[in-house]
Amino acid sequence: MKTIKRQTSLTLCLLLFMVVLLSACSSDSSGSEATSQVAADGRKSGEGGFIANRDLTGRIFLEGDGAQLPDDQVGNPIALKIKEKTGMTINWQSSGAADGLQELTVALATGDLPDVIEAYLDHGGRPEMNVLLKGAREGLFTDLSPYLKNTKVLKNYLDPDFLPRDTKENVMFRPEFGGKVYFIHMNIPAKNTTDADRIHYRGGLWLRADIAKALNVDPSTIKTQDDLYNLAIKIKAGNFKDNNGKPITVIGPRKWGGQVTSTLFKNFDFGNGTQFDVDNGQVKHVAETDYALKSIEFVQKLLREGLLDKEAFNMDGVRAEEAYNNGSYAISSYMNIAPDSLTMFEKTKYLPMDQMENYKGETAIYEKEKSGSQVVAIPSTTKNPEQIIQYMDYLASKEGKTLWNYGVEGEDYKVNDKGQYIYTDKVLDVMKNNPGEERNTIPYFWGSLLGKTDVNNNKDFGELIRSANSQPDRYKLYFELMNYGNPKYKYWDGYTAASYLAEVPDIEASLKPVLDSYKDVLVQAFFAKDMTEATKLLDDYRQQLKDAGVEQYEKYLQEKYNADPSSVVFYIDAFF
Amino acid sequence: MQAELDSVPKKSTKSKKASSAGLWKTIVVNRYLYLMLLPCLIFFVIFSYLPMAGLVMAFKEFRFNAGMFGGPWVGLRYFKLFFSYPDATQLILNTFIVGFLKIIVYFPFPILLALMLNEVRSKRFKSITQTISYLPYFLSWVVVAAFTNKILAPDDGIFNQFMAALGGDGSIFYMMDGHYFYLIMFLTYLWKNIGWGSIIYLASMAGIDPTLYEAAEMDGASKWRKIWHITLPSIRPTIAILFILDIGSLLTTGYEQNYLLRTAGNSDYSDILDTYVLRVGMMQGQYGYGAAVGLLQGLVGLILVVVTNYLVKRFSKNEASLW
Repeated sequence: MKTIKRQTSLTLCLLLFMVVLLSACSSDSSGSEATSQVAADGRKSGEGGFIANRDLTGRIFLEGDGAQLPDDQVGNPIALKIKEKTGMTINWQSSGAADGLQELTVALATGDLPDVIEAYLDHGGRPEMNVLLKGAREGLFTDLSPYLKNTKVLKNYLDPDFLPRDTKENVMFRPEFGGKVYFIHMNIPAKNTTDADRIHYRGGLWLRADIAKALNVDPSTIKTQDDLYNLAIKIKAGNFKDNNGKPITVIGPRKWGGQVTSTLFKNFDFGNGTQFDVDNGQVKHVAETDYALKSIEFVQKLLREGLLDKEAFNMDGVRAEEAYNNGSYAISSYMNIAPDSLTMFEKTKYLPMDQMENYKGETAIYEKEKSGSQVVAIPSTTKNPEQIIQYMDYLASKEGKTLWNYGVEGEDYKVNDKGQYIYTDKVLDVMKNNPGEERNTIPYFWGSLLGKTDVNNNKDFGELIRSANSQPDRYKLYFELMNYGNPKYKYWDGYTAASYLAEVPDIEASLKPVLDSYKDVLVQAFFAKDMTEATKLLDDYRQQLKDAGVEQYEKYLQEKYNADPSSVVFYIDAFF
Repeated sequence: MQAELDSVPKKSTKSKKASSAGLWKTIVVNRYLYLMLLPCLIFFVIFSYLPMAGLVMAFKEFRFNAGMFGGPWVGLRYFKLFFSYPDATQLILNTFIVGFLKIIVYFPFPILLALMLNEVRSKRFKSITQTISYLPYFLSWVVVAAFTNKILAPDDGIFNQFMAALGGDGSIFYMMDGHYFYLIMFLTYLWKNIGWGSIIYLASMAGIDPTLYEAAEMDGASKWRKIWHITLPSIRPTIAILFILDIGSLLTTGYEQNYLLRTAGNSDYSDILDTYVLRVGMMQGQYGYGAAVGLLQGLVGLILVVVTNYLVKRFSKNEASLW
């Protein structure tokens, strides 16, 4: 009897242990609820900006961007100031994973969703869009349309002139949803912004400034592949050295690591960013044109003559960035001048060479019309979604934007007599001497996640880029590079040829893996022993395309294009 | 006769009862040993048996809102899709080659290392060598792949510089040329795992009765004879069991190494089912499709284990087999 009792208690103990273990593995993902509708100072919901006493939890799927969040997301002075006004705070979770798409897919599949999520999505053709749409179709997200009407800033999304076509037709107001809105596309420029209100990142080839000077070359005059080749030959003959006195390689990989970049053969970049384009009125895949062979021939020539680093297509990001900091390459096959990369340009100055002719003979730089960059969605499990929309609306207002862009007046910034926002010495000291700590002083990234939309920094704060008026000497370099060579821009908007693939799932299943492998085929052809072998590789690939149904897809695109040429965008600003 | 027949089932029930009571008694007597076994059982139930239910996804359309079991049945759609993928044959072939190298070709190397270590007389030298040989096992494939890339880099990689110093061609881009892929993959795998793999054989050798060696020595057996006639036969059951267990993973040797050593140039050789499942199933959220390919791998593994077990059982005269 005693033994049985002992065994029973032992079994119960083990069961308890398992229950505790399993319950510890699970978590309540339904998120927060408003605990009180009255502020500490007696304001009721809707009075004086108060929304509700609520601590939100959010999750970002933005490829390692968690490092930019403040250490204390709810207790930092700016978050407290916002809470004082609205009653609300937000704590963003980020795993810092390298692949935001995979993380997003797993989160949606497991239902591990907090109050609000934010995913990367610069246009409706991104791979994230398919996953998000699947989630919306299967009821994972809340319809936000009823709440947008009752806002001050976000109601602009309902204005037909506010949104770019891609955002309107493909991301937010998709006809299939019959007026329901599941995503808010962030980072949309305000109405009536002009070209002067845009930041241009100048993606493309860049040339080391001291080498350009030594050879007396203006990078903006490099237009053709022959110009590029002749420049590379000159650089090689010049025996230039890097910052450590070691010999340089003429052309290197992307600043973020090896990958095929069409900027290297821009004269032949048919269907840039989508792989499809129109040749003599016919929709074709780039591999079906002569441009593919011309690109291969050019890269083979560079490799053969030692003008291009052999690891340009597979070098890891750490090595590549280090090499650019050291000036180890005369030309980068792709980089850009995002404000946070200014430090690298201060170490080694490069000049943009993005005005080479594209395959159409145009020298204008392609950019997306009124670009969005991320999407916010509220899971259908979240209670009181209208409070989150109100909170976003506050963060997107001038008052909210000021707080997460500049901090608290008097303490973190002052407004000068020209109406410009100038950081105090306290903040500037952190920015200059301890840039890693800036996120804890001015939680810009944290606030931008829900507040950066309807953007016009020039109008709101008197400067295009934060801190440009506070550190004019530093940002002089930025503006010099941004405007170098008086570039002209051409803006694209709409649904890309690559995005339409998701509309024909039967073809997509067989064609997508073959389209995805095109870059691999190109690299194999670059390293083929001669053009005969490269041509054979390309012929094999063409056959694979045919077998996978490329002709049906081209026919599908052709019909769309013939009915309305503006309905398919073939050439975009991607680097491949 | 009838009485005899009637008594058979009765006897059997009685003996069954007796044997189950005996088993229960054995469990109670050895309760602490069984208790120690429990975490292991729980582990396998939670992480191996319960997830098997997820295989149903291979036949269902996965929906976010319906979970693993709620989507509609799609029959063999994912299997048909996989076999209509133009590179399916290449993927299967590559997987077999990689599995063959990692399981069959690699298999004798840890045994050879264990035999060599077993013969080392200096204890200090033996333990230092053993420790050094284990260390690579604890390195992540990310690290191993990074320095493999660096060592084999064209022109300025150590290996190419060494070849150039010997008068050879120092500009070969080994990582971009698919013909070198299997050699690189095998050597890095061997280097990383050989030390760890030899532990179990060394442990098995430690259990050999020393009097066997003494008797052999008295009979004038040389070192080779002792290895051939005592050491190897004594560890034969261990070798056989490990071989059967390993063979089950012939098609599922893991994605990390191939994924990290993959370049566009060697992708025709380095893409295997595991990397494909990762890319298509996990990264693109096609869980049903991924589960279908995974199921194929598992089935082939199961068949291989059963066949190998049967063959080992037959040729070893029941000396070593899983069941």
